[in-house]
Amino acid sequence: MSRRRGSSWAALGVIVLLVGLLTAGPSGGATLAGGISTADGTSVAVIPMGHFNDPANKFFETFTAGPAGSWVLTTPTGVATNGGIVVASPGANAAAVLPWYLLRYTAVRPLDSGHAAGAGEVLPPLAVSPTSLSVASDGSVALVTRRGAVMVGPSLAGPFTTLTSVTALRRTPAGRRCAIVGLTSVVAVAGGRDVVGATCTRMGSDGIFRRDSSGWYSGTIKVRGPVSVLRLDAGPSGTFTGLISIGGVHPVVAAGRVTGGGFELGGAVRQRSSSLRSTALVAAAPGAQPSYVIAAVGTRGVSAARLPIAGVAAPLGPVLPRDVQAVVMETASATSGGPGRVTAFSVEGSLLKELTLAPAGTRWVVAATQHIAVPYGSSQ
Amino acid sequence: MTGMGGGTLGARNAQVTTHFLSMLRWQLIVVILIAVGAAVLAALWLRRHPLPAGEAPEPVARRILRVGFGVLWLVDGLLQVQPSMPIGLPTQVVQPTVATAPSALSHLVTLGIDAWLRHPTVGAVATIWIQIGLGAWLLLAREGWLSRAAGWASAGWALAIWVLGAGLGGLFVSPVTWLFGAPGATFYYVFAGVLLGLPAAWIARKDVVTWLARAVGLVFVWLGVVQALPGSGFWSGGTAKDPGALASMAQQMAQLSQPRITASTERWFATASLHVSPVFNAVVVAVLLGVGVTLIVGWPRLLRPAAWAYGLLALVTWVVVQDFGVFGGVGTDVNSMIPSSLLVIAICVALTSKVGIEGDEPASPATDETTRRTRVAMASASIGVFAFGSIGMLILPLIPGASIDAALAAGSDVASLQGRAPNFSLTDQAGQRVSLASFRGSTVVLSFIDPVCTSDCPIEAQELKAASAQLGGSSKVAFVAINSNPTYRSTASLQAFDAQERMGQVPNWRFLTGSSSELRRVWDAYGVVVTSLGAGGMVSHAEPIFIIRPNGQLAATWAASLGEQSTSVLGRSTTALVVSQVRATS
Repeated sequence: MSRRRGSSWAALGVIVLLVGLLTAGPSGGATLAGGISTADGTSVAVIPMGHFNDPANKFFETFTAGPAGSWVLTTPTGVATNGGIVVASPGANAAAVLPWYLLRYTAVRPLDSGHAAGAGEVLPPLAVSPTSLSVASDGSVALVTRRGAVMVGPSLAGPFTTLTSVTALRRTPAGRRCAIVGLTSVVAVAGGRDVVGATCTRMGSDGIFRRDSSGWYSGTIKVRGPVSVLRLDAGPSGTFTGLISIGGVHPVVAAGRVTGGGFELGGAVRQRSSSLRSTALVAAAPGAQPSYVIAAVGTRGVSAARLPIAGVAAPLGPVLPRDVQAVVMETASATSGGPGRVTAFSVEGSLLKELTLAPAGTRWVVAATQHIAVPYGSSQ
Repeated sequence: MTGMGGGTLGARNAQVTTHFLSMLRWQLIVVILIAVGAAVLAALWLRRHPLPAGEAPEPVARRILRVGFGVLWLVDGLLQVQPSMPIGLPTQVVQPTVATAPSALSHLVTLGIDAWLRHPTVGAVATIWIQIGLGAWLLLAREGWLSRAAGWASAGWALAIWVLGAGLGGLFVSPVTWLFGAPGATFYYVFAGVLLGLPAAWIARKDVVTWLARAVGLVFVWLGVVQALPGSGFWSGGTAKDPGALASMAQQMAQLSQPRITASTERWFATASLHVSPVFNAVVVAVLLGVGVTLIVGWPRLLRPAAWAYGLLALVTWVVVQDFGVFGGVGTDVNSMIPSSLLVIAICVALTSKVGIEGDEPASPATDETTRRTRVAMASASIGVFAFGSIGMLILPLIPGASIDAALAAGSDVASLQGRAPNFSLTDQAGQRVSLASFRGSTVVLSFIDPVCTSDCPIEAQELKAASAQLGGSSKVAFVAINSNPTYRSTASLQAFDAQERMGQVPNWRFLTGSSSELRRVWDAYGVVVTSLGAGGMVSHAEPIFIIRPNGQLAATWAASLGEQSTSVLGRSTTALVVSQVRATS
């Protein structure tokens, strides 16, 4: 085979592979499970349940727990939750429900233990991302829409106006440097100056867009691949933390701190190279210390890891059984700075198991089992 | 079912089935007359216009495709005779393929479904004649432009099905997998049709066949890559409680109405696949990639083994995974394994033929002329059948309104009412206070809609919109909907629903809401039961429609209840019912 012919076949192979990647995999209801930890020590986990291969009968459920309390079902009622749930951060005690494909707007209402009725509002259609909705301490709201716009409003009841968009950011120097293709996350800041996370296709930009008097700018990051912001969270005293993925042959998921000039990398883990669409990462949530905890599906099972904002990543206990889905949460520590209580959720249909990490960190123990009344058939 | 009241729309609705079989019987007489007429006319024409000299013998590969797909079209046509087809095909076969498709495709297919469901028996019967006509045409027309035209007609109809009836072969229904039929049986029909539409001599040309083989090979490599990716659920067998993708499919197949032996085969495979799914998937991936690469590279020694391997695997998959594709009352074809095998075998035969036309014996010219004339006359008869069905299908979307079948299928029994309609005072989508009394002088179409319902409410809104259009946007008719969700009561919720469903196009559309107690009073007055289904589920509510006369007196009501798997039958019948009832009160 000639060299030219060989390269043609290689190109052909790449094209076929790309087409395969673009057309494969679940086409609806995909969202990164996980949750948030609120300022008062409350944690909210968003967990997919039901039939995972059937978008009509896969539902997302929310569970809420205090620092030492048990996990209680708090999914909002009145609207199907097939498309995903975005918990308003930080600590608005509200959840935005993405009710699958037929509705092009998002319903939002308080987390209500499945019983109490509360006011229901609608938002513009949210991006399917764990932190696409954010509520600032003054109640103002910022959200990322599926059409790639950042909208802001005085409260969850609106009205909403467009702050910026992918198209607008693409025209800025920062947007060009990042070669921005999408928006993923937002953190609402009291008095404005919201921070926006994006997906870049060019190396060098941290993908996090801040504002000053001269407009939008982004920071820099020294990594060997383009960055996509998986989630952004508000830290104490006006700081921001984030979880990013760094593209490349071996994708990396890294936690870190957002500074004025860039993204300071903390703990990082490399994803399996065979996880072609980075689907290995199935859940991510803020942890104690501060850190993020993530769950990733590997060949041997589900691996949990803690990614400190500053420091080195460490595995959390042994590999979990290879369940269909798993979410790991670390509730806030009773003593500031110490490790929190780590819970892994294992799901089989409507059966939810809570596994806690034994003190020595060497084994997972089933702490509780709950049967959740998954509302099969209620979404069509 | 939630988001609506009770009621069931069965695919085998007795009224529709009766009408379907009745229409089939009388159209059969018409079709026979057309076929005989076309054959006679063709025979008369051939007396004065002798056929041109016969072409070179048909290449074996072409004959495989022509006969194979001709038989398949005949089988498909006969499958369309199943009584469940008028309602079952659009609701149980077509609709699920675009559930997660891009909105442009979804809307296109929904238009087709709506057109079909307005006149379900017309569409179902037309499909029978098209497919039987196509099958006979392919089998009878062996040479010349008549045969090539059969190929193009076959490709065209298959393409229409692939796009409108199969949502691009179910490429948007996860998981996308060769095992379940991706990229769609009709994809292979299209490919074969195009090949048959080319001059017969081209199939004997090595360069043409080589490029065709590469194109088909690419498809199989793509299917192999998709099959090999993790995440689709085929590398894991799952558990008995939560089976993997392969076992789930087998379980679903086993539940279909079918002979006991095939059902037990499916049950056996469902159990076995819990353990052997990874091995089975590995074999599938290996064969798909192997066949694909062999066709692309064209290794002569491997072509025959590749064809055998593919045929064998396809046969096994056809039996144990696809369950022959024909059971359940709405099996429209034999699924993808047989057509894809035909295509692979034909291409391998074409690639391995030394002169491309081996195996065809030259016929005796004397008998040939008579035989050829007979074939052309009979092919003309089949074209007549095909044309008759095509005309039915083409005029389907042009027939105004909805046939009585659609209304009957929805099981909508209209009840006449007497007495004054209970008054109410609520807030409309613009924040204006509105009472029923304010509509005095207009006929009111009163409905109950949940603004965050994902199922029937959007469909019902569309049908009310269609009714308004059919009534000419009369200012004497008001379409009033009462919010039936106790939680999402804000005017913003109503506005979001209106914007999504484009209800602004309805001149007198008022979507009303109020406090929880205000709404509950209206629900009670009109007998609407609203209940919450708990975490993660919608609100369940009844969906009656009331017609209120201009003088405020109740005229009629019926339950706008959709059934399982339904899409727009009710909606269209609701449209027809609303229009007829409004006209009756005017």
